[in-house]
Amino acid sequence: MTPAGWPARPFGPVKRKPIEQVIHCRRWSTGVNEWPVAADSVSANRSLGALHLAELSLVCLALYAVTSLVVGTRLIARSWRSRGMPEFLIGCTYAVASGSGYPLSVVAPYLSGRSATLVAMIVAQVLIVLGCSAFAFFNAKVFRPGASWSVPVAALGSLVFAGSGLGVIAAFLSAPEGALAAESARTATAVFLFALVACQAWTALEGLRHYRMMKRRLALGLADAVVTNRFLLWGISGAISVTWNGVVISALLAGANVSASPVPVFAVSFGGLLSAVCLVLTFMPPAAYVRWLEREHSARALAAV
Amino acid sequence: MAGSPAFEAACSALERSTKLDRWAARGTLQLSLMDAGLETGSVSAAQLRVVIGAVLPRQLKSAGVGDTGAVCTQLEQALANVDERGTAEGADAVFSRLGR
Repeated sequence: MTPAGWPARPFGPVKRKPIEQVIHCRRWSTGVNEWPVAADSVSANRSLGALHLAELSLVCLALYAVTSLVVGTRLIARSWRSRGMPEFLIGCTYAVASGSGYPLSVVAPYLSGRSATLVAMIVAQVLIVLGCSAFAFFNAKVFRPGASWSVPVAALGSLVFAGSGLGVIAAFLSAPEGALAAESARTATAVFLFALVACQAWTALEGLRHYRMMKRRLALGLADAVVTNRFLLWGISGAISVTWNGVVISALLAGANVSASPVPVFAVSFGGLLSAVCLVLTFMPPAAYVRWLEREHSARALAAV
Repeated sequence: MAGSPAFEAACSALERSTKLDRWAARGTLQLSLMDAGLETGSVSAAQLRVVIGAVLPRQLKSAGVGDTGAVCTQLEQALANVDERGTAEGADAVFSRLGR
């Protein structure tokens, strides 16, 4: 007969973590009047939060990088068929900078061996500079094809990218092993990001200006609703990138660790996620989204009659 | 900034068929293009025809031009023979290709 309160199943091995691995295991090991436990648990909670944030950031950035690589490769392939320069330039931006160079610069410090890290960092910086320069020339060629100032401005931006990219490499070469690129080359990274933000602000302004123009054309039957929406997405994506890079610049200039501080990490993660969505809707819109835009436009046109 | 061949042809025709001087003719057409969301550097003859039909008559009236119908007909005739080779590709043409 089983005594009252005795479990009705046989005893087995206890499935739980060893006590040393439990975060608050030291809670009960201190004296009654001591209070080191609180500080310990707060720091443990903080490090746990930072870990989740880092994981979230990694997932968002990986999503952005994969989306950029797919979209960019697709655009480059299209440029071979159409012989179109704009497709090639924007394809290079996404495939080379966002899809290859940026992820490589993130993983480079974690590679085993100093020489592998250095080679990866140099390759990553070269890819990022090439991609960002292609982005500046895309803006000039597509939005200001007849303006005398646009190509020189894009060339100047490319020079700034190249110069600050060299600065990042030089600082990284002289930094101690294990240092992160952004931490070892704050000034060069900030200059690079300033130039990038200027390019992205140009993108945002041109996208929104063209969206306004396209809405007027749409009213006269001179434009397509899907292409009009593409300009809006382009403008929004530029504004998102300005915000996210602006936050990173501020954190860099304030001396914060941009890879660990919650605000820049959250800005980069959330910005990367939104940018990935905008990229897909702009360059690879799902059929359902296109149908929805066309339906909305038809309904609006009917209401106006 | 120079206008597209279609824009230049329409400006010349407007100057010839009205009492507007060169700058007034260009300005009137530019205002019409702005109302339609178009740019002088990349506007095509087909787009200008729509602007001439839908937006320009209002602008001509406000500029004091009398017989707007006859002026618009002359402008459309001037656009018939425009050679559009060398016109800069507009951003809308690029963006319509990019998302296909």
